[in-house]
This record gives sequence, structure tokens and C-alpha cells, in this order.
Amino acid sequence: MFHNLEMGKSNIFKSVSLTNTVTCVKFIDNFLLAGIGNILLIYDIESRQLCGRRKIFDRSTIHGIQFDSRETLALIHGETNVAVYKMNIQIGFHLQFDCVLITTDWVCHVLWVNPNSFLTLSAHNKATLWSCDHKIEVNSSQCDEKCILYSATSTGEDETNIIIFSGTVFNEIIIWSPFRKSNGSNILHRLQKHEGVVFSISVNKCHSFIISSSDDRSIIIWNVEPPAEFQNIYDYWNHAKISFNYALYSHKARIWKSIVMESGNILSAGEDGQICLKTPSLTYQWEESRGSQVRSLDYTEKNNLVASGCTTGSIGLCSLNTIPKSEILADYASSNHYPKYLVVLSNTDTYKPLKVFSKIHSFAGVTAIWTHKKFEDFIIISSVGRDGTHRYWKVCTESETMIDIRLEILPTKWPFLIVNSNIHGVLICGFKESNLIVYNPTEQTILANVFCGGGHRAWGLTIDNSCNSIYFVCSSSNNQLERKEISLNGQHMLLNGFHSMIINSMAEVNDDIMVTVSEDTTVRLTRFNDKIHHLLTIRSHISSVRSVICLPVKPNVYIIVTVGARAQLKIWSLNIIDEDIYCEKSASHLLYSIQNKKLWRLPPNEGDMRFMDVCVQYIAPKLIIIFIACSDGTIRLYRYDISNKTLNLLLQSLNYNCCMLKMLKIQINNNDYILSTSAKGLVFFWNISELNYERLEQTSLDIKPVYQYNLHQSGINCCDWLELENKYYLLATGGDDQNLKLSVFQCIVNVIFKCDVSVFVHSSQVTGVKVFNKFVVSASVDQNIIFCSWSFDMKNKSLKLSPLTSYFTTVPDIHGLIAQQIE
Amino acid sequence: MGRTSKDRRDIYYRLAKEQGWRARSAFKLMQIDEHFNIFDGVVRVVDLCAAPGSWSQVLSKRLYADKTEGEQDDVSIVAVDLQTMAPLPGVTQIKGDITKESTAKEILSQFSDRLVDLVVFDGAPDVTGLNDHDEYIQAQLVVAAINISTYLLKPQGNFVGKIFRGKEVSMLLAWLEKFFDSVIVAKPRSSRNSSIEAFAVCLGFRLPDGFMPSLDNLSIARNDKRLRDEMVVHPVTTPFVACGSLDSFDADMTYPLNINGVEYVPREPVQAPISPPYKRAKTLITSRGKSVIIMHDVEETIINTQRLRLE
Repeated sequence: MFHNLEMGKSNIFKSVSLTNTVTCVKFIDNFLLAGIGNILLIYDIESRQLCGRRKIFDRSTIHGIQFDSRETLALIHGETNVAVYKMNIQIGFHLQFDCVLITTDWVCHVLWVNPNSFLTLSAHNKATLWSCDHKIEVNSSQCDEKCILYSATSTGEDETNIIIFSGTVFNEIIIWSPFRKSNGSNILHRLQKHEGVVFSISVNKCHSFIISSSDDRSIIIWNVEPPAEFQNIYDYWNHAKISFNYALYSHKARIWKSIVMESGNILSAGEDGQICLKTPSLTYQWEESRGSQVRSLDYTEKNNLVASGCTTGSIGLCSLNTIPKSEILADYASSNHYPKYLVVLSNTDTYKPLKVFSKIHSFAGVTAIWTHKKFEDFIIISSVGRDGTHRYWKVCTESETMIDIRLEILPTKWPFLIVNSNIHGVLICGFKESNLIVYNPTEQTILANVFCGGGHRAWGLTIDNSCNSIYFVCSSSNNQLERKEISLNGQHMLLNGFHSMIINSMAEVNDDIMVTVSEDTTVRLTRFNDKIHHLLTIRSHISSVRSVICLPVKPNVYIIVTVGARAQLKIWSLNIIDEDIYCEKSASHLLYSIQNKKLWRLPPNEGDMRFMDVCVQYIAPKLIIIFIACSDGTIRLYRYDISNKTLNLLLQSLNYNCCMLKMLKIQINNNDYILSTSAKGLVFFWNISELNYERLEQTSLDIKPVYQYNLHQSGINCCDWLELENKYYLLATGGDDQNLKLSVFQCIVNVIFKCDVSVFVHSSQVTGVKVFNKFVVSASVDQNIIFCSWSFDMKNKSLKLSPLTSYFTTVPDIHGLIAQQIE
Repeated sequence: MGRTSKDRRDIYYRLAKEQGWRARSAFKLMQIDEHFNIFDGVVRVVDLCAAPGSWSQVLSKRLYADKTEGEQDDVSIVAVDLQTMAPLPGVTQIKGDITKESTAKEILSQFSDRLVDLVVFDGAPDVTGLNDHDEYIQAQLVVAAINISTYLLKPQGNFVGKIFRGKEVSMLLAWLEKFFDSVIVAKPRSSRNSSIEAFAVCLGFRLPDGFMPSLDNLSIARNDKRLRDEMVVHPVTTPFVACGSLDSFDADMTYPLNINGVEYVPREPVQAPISPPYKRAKTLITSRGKSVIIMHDVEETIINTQRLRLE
């Protein structure tokens, strides 16, 4: 069904920015279009600037874009919808809405047959022809092979000359013509070779190759032998001989996209985050964001550019003209001496070491040191070494002390150089197996990964900042001297990415800085205003980071506590210095770090416990208690001394036989309590008001929940608390049982449950809730953010909760929500 | 990963191995039954997308092995999947595609053309990570399972099927409600809190008026009106039930390896995984950056990546 109404603009909600998987990238002339959720971004390739942003669908994610041959019309498809736009790209990029088609099945692929009609192919292998002028269905055809498709492409001149290439869930490629039959069937060819779902199919312009990629991690190149004579496309494909040419394996995981270029070169990208170029003479791989998957890929002959979109939300642009080049400088088969370097650092007769850190980068040693930033009274330096880590140090200029501030795991075990480059800032060069790696530690991306034979050969490296290149000279296996030129301006990020996996928790640091923690093991500090500005990524947790909390110490100084899987707890101190930030690790704790260097080893009888959530409480000016909700059904208390950075486990509660999920610090009649929620729907109230400095000194410390209430059928994923009048308190909880619940408690002597009310407006688990005076906001995995109003009648002890409005977001699997009321 | 690491993380994975179930999902069906008594009076049952067969195992035990010999004669359990699975007592296997009418006929012939009391379905696609697509595929599997069930189920028969509680789940549930007196979303305690998986327990099958059983029925089409007024909140009417008793194990909780005084013994999985699509690739691509070309099935040419030459 066609609709002429463009998506209405909401007066209530305004999306400011969206970071999500880039599901589609497509070049047209000098522009690159990218689909992120239901938003289309338009980039000018030359200036590399964003020149347009447009919401295309209400609820659907953009999955593909096709233009007509004259480049004046665009079809944008997502899920069951297709939006038709008129396009003018003569001066700038202009899109004009024409209509939107809402079909009854998932649209797998679209094709302009002529300027007045287009074809849609459903995920059940059914083709439908639509008239744009009359806004009606013209014709439709079901392929004789009816099964679910994961990919498709097509080519066509007119209605009877349309050829569709369908990639099926049953490992086949079906080539068929929807509106013409031969020998009673509309199927022309069946290509069978893949051993898994076919994820992408691409045909080159002159129809001499088909390439396909699959769940079996292979790319298959099919040769198309044209018939001696043919009248039209249908004839061509009907009589063409298609044969298996070769299979290419180069990815370590599923291959989402593959493209065949006019030259026959192949581009592919996949779940392993690698983008792979295969030409007759070489294969070259690079990656866009660390730990990310590449979800979308496109190529343009113009300037030889590749665009890619990742699950981190990044959009990369790479020029194939700048892939590393190699040349032979000399043959030195006869002589066999290697160059050696000696560097004099300084005249050391009057200096003594201030401090010695023995074996700090393991026994194999430190390989490079770099000065990063100079602050007023301290300097940040960093070192890399043969243990494959990058350590940051703080050197206090006055006190002449040096402390270890944090450590990052590098993608190379053999870093050998830290160097400054004009366009990327500090870079780290290192070897990984027989490859040279150029790594950007700020953006955490690998800029180049080039075969060089490894670090045990003779080699030399120099960076030329005037032409943004790295030159690397090495001896090759056949006694030749080779020079590699690695261009540093080949890769460009149009849009920076964010976490590569689920964001488990977030906390506000101040008005515009947010700290987020993720399943991808990183902690990120980001400035959120009208733009998302990346400040710092800390890669130091050994497993998923579950929760984070931020505690202000004094103006611009904060303590950040992160907890996560493998029962790991880390404490960071953060200073905000104007536009800059300084972050150091103050303490780190692994519950099961028995005297064993292997962190992943657990004591024999222990389960693999996760720290689920965290709360903090000051008990003295320089002393805080950290409360942790644990997956073994307990809560644990840690004591942290800010001045001397000592952290120790105080106590562990009894096991309440269900996984603790969330924690919240509340106040009841000026007494401090901790609320914890469980996977079986219980809320526990822990009285912590008596945990003062004196009591901590006693040995017989114990903690028990003072109250417990069963509020939900199963897990409580989120909660919020609000103080009302007359010693009444409101608790809002959201559960796995799809319920949003408000409960009122009163506390005169004891906390007594008074009444509650639920609304059943979410069709999936409720994972975020925030309660305000008179209304409550909730978010759920069903992707709705719902606003409800509430009222409490104190006399009759009755609560009312009624839904007001909802906002749909294309962010799937929502894990939480932060909301602020601005007066 | 160590030999015990999955056992340390997941109590139901460990219990499944200890009790001889092929997959932890066996507990989900048992917990659904605990609440809904779906096996009461059931003699003819179909398990769709059965492999590796943990649900068939539950059916075999509860409806066949636990019965007397006389009762066993009436019981008929059919498991359908594209893959073959290891045999089970009292279970007849059919290798077939549930979207094909021939499969429906073959199943019915196993029951001598008598309609069945219960259809269960625990199939899921290999998720791709694109949530909207994964949810769509899962919904299509449920639709295919219901379509074939319209041929198989007796009036007032029951259906239990796995659903993903994503953005379009209310649409799927509304569609299911056309075929059954009541539809309930059930979440067994053995299913993790963080998982979007749940089960639609559909009780009291009835064909809608004028509905002809067909396998081409795909239309769980969206209500166009709903699309245009996205800001209106629609109340959810399908009830939710967390099933499995409160004292059963919590799927999210971490337990020590030795529980209830029983000493832990590492065990191999009951059923080894079936050959995955990447079986061949895994042996070829051992490190990043390596690439292999296979011209014909026998002849292999291995080329080294990034060995760049300027001719």
C-alpha cells in the first residue's frame, strides 16, 4: 500500500543524535549515503563533511538504497517498507519525498525497472512490480523455489527482462526471471556450492562474474560464459553457462558483504571486522574499528574509494590508491650484515634513577617511551614493551614521583616505536607474527597491517610527515631489500564509532560528560552535547563491564567505580582540566586473584561470578564504602580509602538464592539504605545508616536486608526512588515480566508497603525507568520509551498510573535509560 | 576456554549434562509444563525443528518412558527437522522442511491421519546480530510452525513455540490469538533474564471462520493505522507468566561447582554439535590476514596476504 504522507515530525520528541549499527552505505556521484537506524546521513566525499540528515521511516531500519540509471530517483528500503525519493545532485544533494510503500513482507531487494516502475523482492522470494505514477501493484510473481532469502540482487531492462539472483537460507543461489517462464519454470539456474546461508551476491556490470559470500566464511567466484548469440538479458542469462571458478577464504567469521569490481577485483567484509581486497597479485586486509563487525560496504570507481559501516556506528572511507606499496631496493645476496643502531639518550653522570620499575613490561623489556601531555604540575608519559601493553605514567614535576596510571592491551605483542604523525597524532608501530602493524592508540584502530616477514629480520622505519607516509625497509626472504610505503591518509573516518557491543550501564560525570561501560570490555568517557565527542577509551577489564558509578570528590575531580564479569572491580580517578581530561587507575581488584598469575584461573569449586551493579557511600571525608550486587546472590562491601588508594573487602552478605541485578542508594527519613533487586522479582532493603567509621573497625560486622518485598514475577531490571510528602516514598520498578510498577511505602518506624499499581504497556522486558514528580519514563527491549503520569491519593492509599505518550527508537535491545528534568 | 568454564557460568548447562539432556532447553519445556500442564492427556504430539532433540527427549520421557506398556501403545511422538538426530525411544523422526505441504502429510500419516493434541516448536535461526532481521526470521519460523499446525492440530489442541520479544512481538501475538482461545507469553526460569527469548503458550486451537489451512499464509502484516500514530500507547493484552517454581535454580545466578553436597565431575556434552557451516573454513583460516584459494575440491593454492609486489 502506498502512502503520500511523509513521516510526520513530532512536536514532543526530537532526536538529537543517534549512534547505531551502520546498516547501509551507498555511493552516488560525489556523495555517500549511510543508513543508521531509520536515519539517512549524506556525506560530501570531497569535503568529507556531513551535508544532510533525514529521518526516512517511523520504525524501520534502513537496509538498502538503489538509484535509477539516470540518478534522479532513489528507493530506500527497510524491513517491510520502501520510500521513494526524487533526487537532484547537480548542485549539492537534494532529496524530495515522493511516496512510501508499505508491503506485507520483508523487502530483501529493490530495483528500478524504469523511471515509472520498480520491483521489490520479498524475503519469501516473491517479486512484485509497482507503478510509481499510479501508485499501484502492477504484477507479481512467486519464484518456484519458495524459501527464505538472506540476500538478493537483480538486473533488468523491462518487465520481461528482469533477472533476480536470490541467496537462500538453504545455501543456494537461485537465478530466476519473475515474469517469463521457460519449460514451465521461472528458475534459470541453481548454483550450489556454499555450505551455509548466502549473505550477499554481487554481479559485475558486464555480467561475466557472480560472486557470493556465505555463513561458511567463503566467497565463491562463479564464471559466467555468455551464449554465442543473445537478444536480450533474459536470453543471455537463460543460455549462459555458469560454473564454479574458485572459493576464496580470507575471513575468520561470517562474511556479510562482498562486491565484485569492474576489474574483477573483490572486496569483502564481515563479522571479524576485516575488510579484504583481493586482486590477481595480492590480498590486503584492513579494519575500521577494533572489535567491531563490518555490516555495510560499497565501492565507487570514482577515486577508487571504499566505504564501510560498522556495528560501532562508524563510517569509514578508504582510498584503494593508498594501500601499502612495496618495491625492491636492492639485492644483497652476497653480503650479509645487518644494520645496528645506537642511540645516546643523555649524559648521565649526575643523574640517578628516581624510581626503578623492574620488569614492568615483562622480562623482554621496554621498547619505547613517549611524552604525551604536559599539565601544570605533572607530565603524562607512556611506554610500550614486549608484553604487548601500553602503560601510561604520571610524572609529578615537583615531587619527582612517578606513578603507573593505566594500562592498555595492544594488538601487537612486539611494539617497537611510538611516533607522532600529523594527521593521526601518536602512533604505535609493532610486529604481529610476520606483519607490521601501525596502531592509533587514541582512536584504538589499526591503520595498517602489512606483511614484512616479522621483527627478527633486519629492518628500519621512518615516518615522513610531509607526505603522511611511513617508509619501512626490510630484508626479504630471498635476500632482497624491500621498501614498503604505508600511506597514513588513505583511511578516513567520516563518523566515529562507539562501543562495539552492548552498553551495559552509563553514568553522568557532569553536565556533558558521560561514562559508559560495555560488554566489549571497555570503559568510555564521552562528551555529549550536540555532538558526540570521544574523550577516552579504557581497555583494561578482562571481561564484560557490567556497571559504573561516578562520585564527585571536589569540583572537577571524580571517582569512577567500574565492576564486571570475573568479579572484577576497578576504581579510577578522573580530573577534568578545562577541555582536557586526566584519568588514572587508583585501585583494581579481582575477587579470585589467588596467588596465580593467570587471571582467568578460578579456584576449583567457584562458579564464574559476575559483579552486576555497584553503589557507593561516603562514610568519612576520605573513606567510601562500595556496595556490589553479585550474581551469586550476595552483596559485597568494599572499603576504599581515597588518600592512600587502598581497597579491601569488608564483608559479604548471606546468599539470597537468586542473582542480584540492580542496586540503588536511597534515603528514608534521612537514613541511608541500599535497594537491591533480584532475578526472582524481589526487592531487598539494606539499612546502611549504621555503617559508620567506628563500626568498620569492629570485626563482627554483618549486613542483612531489613525488608524484602516480592514485586515482580521475574527479574527486576531497573528501579528508581522518589520521596513524597508525609514520609511516603515511591518506588518505580521495571521487570522482565513486562510490567512497569509503582509502589508506595511509608516509614514511620518501619518501612511498610502501602499500595502499588502496574501498567502493562511494554511488550518486552522493561529495562529502564526514571520517576519524576507526576510522571514516569520507562524504556523496554520493545524499543518504546513510554511516558506515564501517576498520582497518589494519600487518603485512600491508592495509586493511579496512566500512559501518556510513547517514542519509538531504532536502538534495539535497550539496556537502560538516564533522564533529566530541565525546568 | 577451559573445560569447566561453561559449567561455572551456567547451572542449567551443567544440570543438562548431569541429567543426560541434549541441551539445557529441556528444562524450559519441563518448567512450562509445570505451570500449564500441557502434557495432560496428550498422546499424539509433534516436535517441530527438533534437532538436537532435547524437547523430543522430554516428550519421550514424560509421554512414553514414564508410561505403562499398555499406555505406550497409544502414544505417538513425531520429531521433524531438516537434520537427522540421534534416535529416542518412542519418537519417530521425519526429515523434512516444515514449510512444505508434503511434510504435513507425512506427519499426519504417522498418526494414521488422526489430528494431534500438542505441537511444540523450539526452533531459532543462527542470529546475525541485526535484531530487526533476526526477529523477523524468528517470527517467520513461528508462522511456518503455526501454518503446518493448522493441518495437524485437533480442535482445542495446544501449541508451544519460541518467540523473540522484540519490537514487533505484539503483532505476532495478535496473529496467534486468531487461532487459539488464549495465548500467554511464558518465560521459564531456566531462560536467562537478559535473553529476549520467551515462549508463546497457545491453548485451545480453533480455525478462524473461513480459514483454509495453507502454508502460504505469511500475513502478520502491520496495522497501517498503528504505523501513523506511533506516539499513542497501546496497552498490551497478552498475559505474561514466569514459570518454573520459585525454588528452582535461577539461570542468571552463579552457583559453586559442588552443589547440594554433590561433588562436581566435568562431563562432555550429551550431544556433540552438528557440523557447522564454517567447519571447512576453520581449518583453513588459522590466523588473521591469511587467505586461501581453493580452485577445485582437491587442489589447494595457499597465498600469503600482504605480500605486496610492484611489477
